[in-house]
Amino acid sequence: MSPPRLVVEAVSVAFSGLLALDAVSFTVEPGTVHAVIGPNGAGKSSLLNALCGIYPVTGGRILLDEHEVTRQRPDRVAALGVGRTFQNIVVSPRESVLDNLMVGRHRLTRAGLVRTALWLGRREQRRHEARVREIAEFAGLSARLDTTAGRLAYGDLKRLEFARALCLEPRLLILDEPVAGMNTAESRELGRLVLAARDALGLTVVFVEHDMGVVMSIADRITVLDFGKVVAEGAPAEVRRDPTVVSAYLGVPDDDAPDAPAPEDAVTGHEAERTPR
Amino acid sequence: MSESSVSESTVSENTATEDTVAPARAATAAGTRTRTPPHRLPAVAAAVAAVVVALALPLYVDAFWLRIGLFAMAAAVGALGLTILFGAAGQLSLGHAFFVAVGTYGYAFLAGGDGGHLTGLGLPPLAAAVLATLLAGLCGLLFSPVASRLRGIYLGIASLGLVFLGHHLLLNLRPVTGGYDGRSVTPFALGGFAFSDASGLVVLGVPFGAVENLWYLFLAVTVAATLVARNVLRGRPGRAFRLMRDSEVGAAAMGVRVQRTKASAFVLSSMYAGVAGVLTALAFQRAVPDYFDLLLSIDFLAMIILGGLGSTSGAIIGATFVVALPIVLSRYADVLPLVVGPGQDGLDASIAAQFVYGALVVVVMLTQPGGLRAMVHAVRDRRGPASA
Amino acid sequence: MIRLLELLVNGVSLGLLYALITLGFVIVFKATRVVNFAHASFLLLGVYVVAATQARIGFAAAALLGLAVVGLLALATERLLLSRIDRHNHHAMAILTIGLNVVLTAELTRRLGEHVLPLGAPWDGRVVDLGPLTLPLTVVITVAGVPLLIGGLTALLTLTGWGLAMRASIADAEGAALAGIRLRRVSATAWVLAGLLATTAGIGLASFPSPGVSLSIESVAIAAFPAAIIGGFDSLGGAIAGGLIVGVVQVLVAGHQDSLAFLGLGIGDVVAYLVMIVVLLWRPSGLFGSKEFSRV
Repeated sequence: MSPPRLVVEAVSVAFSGLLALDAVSFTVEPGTVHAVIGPNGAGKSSLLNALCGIYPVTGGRILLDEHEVTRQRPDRVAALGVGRTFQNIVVSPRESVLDNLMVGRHRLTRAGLVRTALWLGRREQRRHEARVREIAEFAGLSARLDTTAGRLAYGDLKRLEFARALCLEPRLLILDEPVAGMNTAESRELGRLVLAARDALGLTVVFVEHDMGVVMSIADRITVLDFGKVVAEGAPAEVRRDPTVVSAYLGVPDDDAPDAPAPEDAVTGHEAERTPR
Repeated sequence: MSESSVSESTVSENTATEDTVAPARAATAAGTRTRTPPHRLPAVAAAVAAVVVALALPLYVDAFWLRIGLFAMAAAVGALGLTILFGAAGQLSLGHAFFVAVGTYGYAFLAGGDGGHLTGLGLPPLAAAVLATLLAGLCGLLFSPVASRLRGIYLGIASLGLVFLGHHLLLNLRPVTGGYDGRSVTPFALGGFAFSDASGLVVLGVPFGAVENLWYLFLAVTVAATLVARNVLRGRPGRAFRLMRDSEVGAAAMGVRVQRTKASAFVLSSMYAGVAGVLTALAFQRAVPDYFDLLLSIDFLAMIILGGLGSTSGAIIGATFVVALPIVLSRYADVLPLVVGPGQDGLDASIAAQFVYGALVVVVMLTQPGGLRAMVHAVRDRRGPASA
Repeated sequence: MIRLLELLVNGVSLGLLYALITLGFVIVFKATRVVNFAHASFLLLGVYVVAATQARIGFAAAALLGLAVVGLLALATERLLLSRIDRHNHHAMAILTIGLNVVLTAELTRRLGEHVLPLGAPWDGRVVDLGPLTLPLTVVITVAGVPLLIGGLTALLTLTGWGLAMRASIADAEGAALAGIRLRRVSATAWVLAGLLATTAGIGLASFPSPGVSLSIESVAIAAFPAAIIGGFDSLGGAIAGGLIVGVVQVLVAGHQDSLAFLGLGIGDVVAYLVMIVVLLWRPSGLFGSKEFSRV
């Protein structure tokens, strides 16, 4: 299947009167890696959550190829082949890495309560487990499959989420700060993994990231948000030169990155909440 | 720790062609897999040993202990349902006693005959048992508009209402329930064989009465219920339950239909409670309304907490403990300090048991919120290759 | 007509007592995100202490003693037990209170058994004629006194430093901690306050026309749980509204028991749960609760 095109048309998101996104538009071409950057509170996470149906869109529309996903439930969006990671890691900390990855197969598998209860889900499970091991291998998690997720190092947790998103066999991959809190070597490696996955699996990728090194090296295009509005868009080289971007964002050294986007992210199992530092 | 270089090389291999890496992967996978069987082996052996002992028990143990076993197995089935709902799916129910009551009275009504001011359908016991279970599931389904929209502890408070409403119905639907006095329960029978004292069966010189016969029936049901719970928890639904418990948004992003999944966990646990109710009816041979109070719901909760949330073996062990404790304390009241038998002046055994398990719930939450299971895991992880 | 009016006043009185219980429950929930399943047994313990000691030390001293005992117990629960659990693990804390509830109820069952102890309040057994209405003195005192109490509580929450600290830590615990608010002190105060409110309400519940202190007081107090859910669980105004709704509906239904015979005997005791389920079907987050709290 060829990678999809994502069209975001004048999308607005409001929380009790506060406009988190204000008529944001951009298009992600099939098979490209598209970065969304901007200062803290610019609405980046709100944008991703709107794409996935987690935050209600108050205006505009979102198209994935010919499918309108604007007001779909998150599980319907996932069913269309949208896999994502979360800014503050969301995994089951008490389950094994393999179990956490297998959840990613949920939409691709069918065994319900009755079939599972009667031992009828096992063949399907084995088949999918083989593929999950393949993906774990790709993400460098093979040696950790039996480890309890809560005991993983931070970098491994980030890769676990990334691998789980791949286990959905997504066509559109959404990453919310995939390298936040990683050291330089780990970040560079994850950047390479993203590109490798895009090439091998034929994905379209949208990601939010503060690490400009990673953004500039893997993004084909960049959209810059500030106060919920698009202030610039273009190829990395263009964006780097854009004076509005430099003043709004790049000029300011961004050391203190603990990101608190619009309303407190409703996204966590508290045990999974970790501060990188 | 040369891990980053390992993954780097696999990355480059993978980017070239994804499928050619399969043999190398199989090798590494086999290397990591060898760690699992030694963990599972003792568990499987323990389960088999437990079943063998349980099969032989009626030949060696008197009816007092067997009767405790019957109540324990009935409770264990209910606890399994609750551990799926609360332990795995994170949805607390304090209405479990209600669904147990539906099972008990459902069986009593469906299998019972007309007599006096009571009505009954007089169905064959097996059909009555199956239908009573389905009836409990149906009641769970009727409550699922509430159960699927509420989360965690909040659902616990909302479901508490079921116990009070249920109790009200038990007292007032007199033709079906017998009101305050309850109604007696038709003994189980299968293909002409009655699970009662009249069976006339003698095995290895031991005369098999109702208790011995029921023991094997209960054992079969408990083993089946355990295996089903295990399959569900280890399979696709169980994984979805657990991620939903830890993060609803995360689960939804994986394609899990959160409301539907909550409802299905609730219905499944209601059916388990229904089976527990049928077994309770057969063990007591009578259904009385006051048994199905809030305390029974809390008993079930204590069972799965003491045993370790989300664990099937934990549910069984916890159920045995909570059921047996008051009976055993009462039996040995003469030799135990503080405790006295029923009707005497002093610390009543059933109250003493509540002190013990209430305090244990507090202690478990303070020391090891995952229950006994987490304790075992903590020990195992320390022993195993922790930083592998 | 007069009878209906009497029922209404009685219902409002009962509802105000429920409001006090529910308020304590909701204050603890708002301040600490802990659901206190032991709340009803705290209440029973409080009135038990009052009833058990009033013959020796007089009602006023006994009431103070009851308040003190429950206040201290609530404080000890927060300080000695809950503070040892990870602050984010609200599940474990709620379950701990269930264990505590089992122990407390067992002890009170042991002490009370089937007994009914007289409360010995000076207003017990007295009725007042207000124009055409004949009302128990308890009801008159409740209807006059509880709104004052709630008003004082509102002032406490809106005007004092503690109230400010509490509202801040509810809105954003981490931020409040950074701003120098001691979360532990806020939650300890909330627990003590809840214990005091429960005991006060308990004294009202156990007064005439109720026969006195018995185990059944606890099952009456449990109706504060559906009241909290009806009101919205994390809303103080909702707690008051929920309490009033439950009280009025209970009394009205029990008062028309005969014409509602088709619903069965004792429907008044369970009608609160019926109302709760209806409200939940209509609004999963209660009448005044915040959406976020029950959102899927």
